[in-house]
Amino acid sequence: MTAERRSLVSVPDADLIGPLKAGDEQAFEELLRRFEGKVYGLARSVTRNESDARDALQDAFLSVYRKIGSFKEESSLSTWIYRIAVNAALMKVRRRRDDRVVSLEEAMPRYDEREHRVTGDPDWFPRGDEALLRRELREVMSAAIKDLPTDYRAVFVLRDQEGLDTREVASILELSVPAVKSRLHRARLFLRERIQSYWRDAGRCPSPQPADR
Amino acid sequence: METCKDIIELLSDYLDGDLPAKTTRAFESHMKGCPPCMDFLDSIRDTRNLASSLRCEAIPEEVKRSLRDFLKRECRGGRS
Repeated sequence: MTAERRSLVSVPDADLIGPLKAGDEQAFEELLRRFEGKVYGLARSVTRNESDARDALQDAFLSVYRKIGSFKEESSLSTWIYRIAVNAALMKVRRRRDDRVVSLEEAMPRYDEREHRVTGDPDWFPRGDEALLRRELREVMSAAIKDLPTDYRAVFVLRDQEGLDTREVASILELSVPAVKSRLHRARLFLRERIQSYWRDAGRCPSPQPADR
Repeated sequence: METCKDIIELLSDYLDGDLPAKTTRAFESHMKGCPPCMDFLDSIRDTRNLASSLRCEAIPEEVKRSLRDFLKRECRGGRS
């Protein structure tokens, strides 16, 4: 590692912007090092498709390279890169017409006349070291995320999978905070129901019935 | 008193620590007396935790190489 490279490794993201705008190739390599894993992971999560994720990764960094000169610094560098990455990934999904129309309403909780939830929930989530079960759950979850409409998928992936906070997700997706919260809540309800349906259909949990009170 | 429907609408805000103190108290009071809502809260929490376990930042070396090859090819002309 060169002395110049070592010095870039320790600089904050904000201090990379100047060298990036000046066309410093070392700074761009450092940017790649910092963000390529995040962008790739995000692209895989949003597209649920390896080939699309690789294409989105390339498109995203090409955009970053071409647009860094006009980056207005109204958000952090990472927020700006995430925004470009999410848009590149969503474009792949939409181009593939993978954005099937799935009704979220069908997966929302049902209530009786007293607004008690109609339930039959088993303790469906495996706990402990049940590796096979956990792998199966991850596969079911991954398929269920793919069924989320893209607007909800992007929110869920950024918030719950990537662990970004609500305000940053709002900034990346250019949504209001209440809109992010609402989409996130509905996405969680949808995914929970999908996982439970899988378990129910496999005969591994009871059918819904009115809650016994 | 809040109904289960009211409470379920607040689940995500509760899990994310976004409820005001007074609403949190009402939420937790409902939960203490409503095992089905408590189960539901647990299942939403599990759903959220499962999502974070899907996170993947590891990028194969081959993907890194293709990214750099692609950028070298595409960026020969410099920035637009």
